[in-house]
Amino acid sequence: MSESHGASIELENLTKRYPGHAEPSVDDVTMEIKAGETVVLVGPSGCGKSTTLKMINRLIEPSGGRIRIGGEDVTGIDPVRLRRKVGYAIQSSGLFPHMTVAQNIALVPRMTGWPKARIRDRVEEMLGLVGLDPGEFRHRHPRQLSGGQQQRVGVARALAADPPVLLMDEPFGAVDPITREHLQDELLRLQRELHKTIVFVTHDFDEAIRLGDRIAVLRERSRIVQFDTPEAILTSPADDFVSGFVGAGAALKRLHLSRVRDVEITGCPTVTVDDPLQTVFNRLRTCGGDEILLLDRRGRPCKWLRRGDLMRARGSLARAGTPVGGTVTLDATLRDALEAVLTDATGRVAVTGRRGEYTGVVDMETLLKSVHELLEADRLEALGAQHRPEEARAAQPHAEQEDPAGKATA
Amino acid sequence: MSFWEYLDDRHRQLLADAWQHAAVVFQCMVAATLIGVVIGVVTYRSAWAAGLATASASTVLTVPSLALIGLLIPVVGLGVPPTVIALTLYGLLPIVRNSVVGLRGVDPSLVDAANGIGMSRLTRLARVELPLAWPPILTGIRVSTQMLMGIAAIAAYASGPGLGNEIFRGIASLGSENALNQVLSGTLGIIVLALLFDAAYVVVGRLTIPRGIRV
Repeated sequence: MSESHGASIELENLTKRYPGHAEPSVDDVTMEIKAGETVVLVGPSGCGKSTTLKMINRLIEPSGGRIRIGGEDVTGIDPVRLRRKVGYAIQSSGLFPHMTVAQNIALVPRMTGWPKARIRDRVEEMLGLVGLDPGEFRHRHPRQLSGGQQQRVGVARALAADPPVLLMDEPFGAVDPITREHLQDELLRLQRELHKTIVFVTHDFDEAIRLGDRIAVLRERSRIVQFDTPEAILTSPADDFVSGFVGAGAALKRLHLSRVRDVEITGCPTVTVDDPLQTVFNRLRTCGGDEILLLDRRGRPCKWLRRGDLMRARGSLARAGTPVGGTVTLDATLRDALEAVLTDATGRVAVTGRRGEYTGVVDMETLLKSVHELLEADRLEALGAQHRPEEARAAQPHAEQEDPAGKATA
Repeated sequence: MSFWEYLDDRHRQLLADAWQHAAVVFQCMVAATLIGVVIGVVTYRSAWAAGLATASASTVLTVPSLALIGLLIPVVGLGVPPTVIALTLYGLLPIVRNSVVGLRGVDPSLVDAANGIGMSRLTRLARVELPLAWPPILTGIRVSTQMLMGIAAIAAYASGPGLGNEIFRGIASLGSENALNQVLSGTLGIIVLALLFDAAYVVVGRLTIPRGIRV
């Protein structure tokens, strides 16, 4: 089945006042979210981020302002109709305990009147999509699932009727850290396949960095302090509030955002277990460095051989050298690579390809150099971006809001 | 005449009385359940209205049953009408209170989820809130039934149907040969009926409480 891609969301001067409160809970939020983008609203508890999210599907009716989804003004339409087009996943899954997994997932398609056979296929498909075996889980009840599994079903239910927009309100807040990380990876994978427009609320900045294409840092009354890419927020926080929220170790967190494939991978001399001993000796003598990497028959890193190792092992390749501890893949984050390099006695780690075959080596020096380059590039980009809004503001009286180019840069 | 001989002699009359007793309690329970759940559904969203509903139902319960039936006789006459009205009113309290408690007790995050995935108010009520509130409502119905079993005996005072007639006849002819047997058979009959109803509710619970929330 072809999935519908995301739709843009525009919030315009969105405001929520509760009677009896002098200050509005959400004060004049204006925000443009592009189709297919994941935007994370992050901020301290009680800053109004959840209220802002719930105004998008009008679970909380805005007191003022407009909401447009895919260009259509939804501020005045029937909220029930609106919500069937907008997926909604919440903390602790919100699954109905008296229905089975399949019944929970089928709810929205049933309400929108899909034929039975199509619903059944869709339930299977959604379970497969979130990595649960339909045969095993279809007839279970929510209380027979672990927290992580419940959350997956919650996401499957939110996506079942194929809505262009998905709202997620701290969906991973109630699961343990390891499961949370799995679920985050899973969501990233889903999003690569589906290209929905996701608005995600969290108070966990690390989660925001992992998931967001862009992050909106909010403070009280849902005021947007900074709305930018994770890289930009990490390297040039708009003010003390944001840098306080980013917390210590911004440079370390930056490492989460880049992959090993983005940095320079150096080679190192290699031999395979099938090479005759003489070749190994020659390679060791001529290579310049003091160690070579021994690969197994399928080209996977196996052992590091130093000069003298072979002598000590009396010429037996099987006994010589130190086994390769950890390897990283091309898709690993630089954070993982740094971890591996730091734990290795000689400060380097072998990089492997998809099937575990050797592709190169990353060492401390390369990492240092790449990180500095990354940070520098981020800084330059952020400086450039700071000038642009001023230009846009200057141009606004003439262009009003019709100019699509102006929207793209805002 | 011993008790057993009495039962043997009058079993026709006793069975008819027991049948009528069960029928009137059952019908009044159906009416009380419908009215009670509707009152619960209408009032649970406002603490004020729910409080008022529960308080009114409690007030009815504090009126002695004999007095209530007595008061109804000049208005609706003798026989079945005062019995049915009184029993239905008495049956309301546990059902109204448990409906309100059950509906208000539904996890707010589930209500939020139901709204969030686009359920209308009625769908939400029918698919989420009432099924989740059903176990406490059913408990209310059980309590009500036990209560009505006893109160229905008083209905004989207004020439109503049921095993109460045995008891009243026995009390009226105290000292005669069968007085004790009559009171005893009426009372024991009511106890047996109450136990049978309770067993039926256990079965109803097994059949109607969704597996996912059964304890």
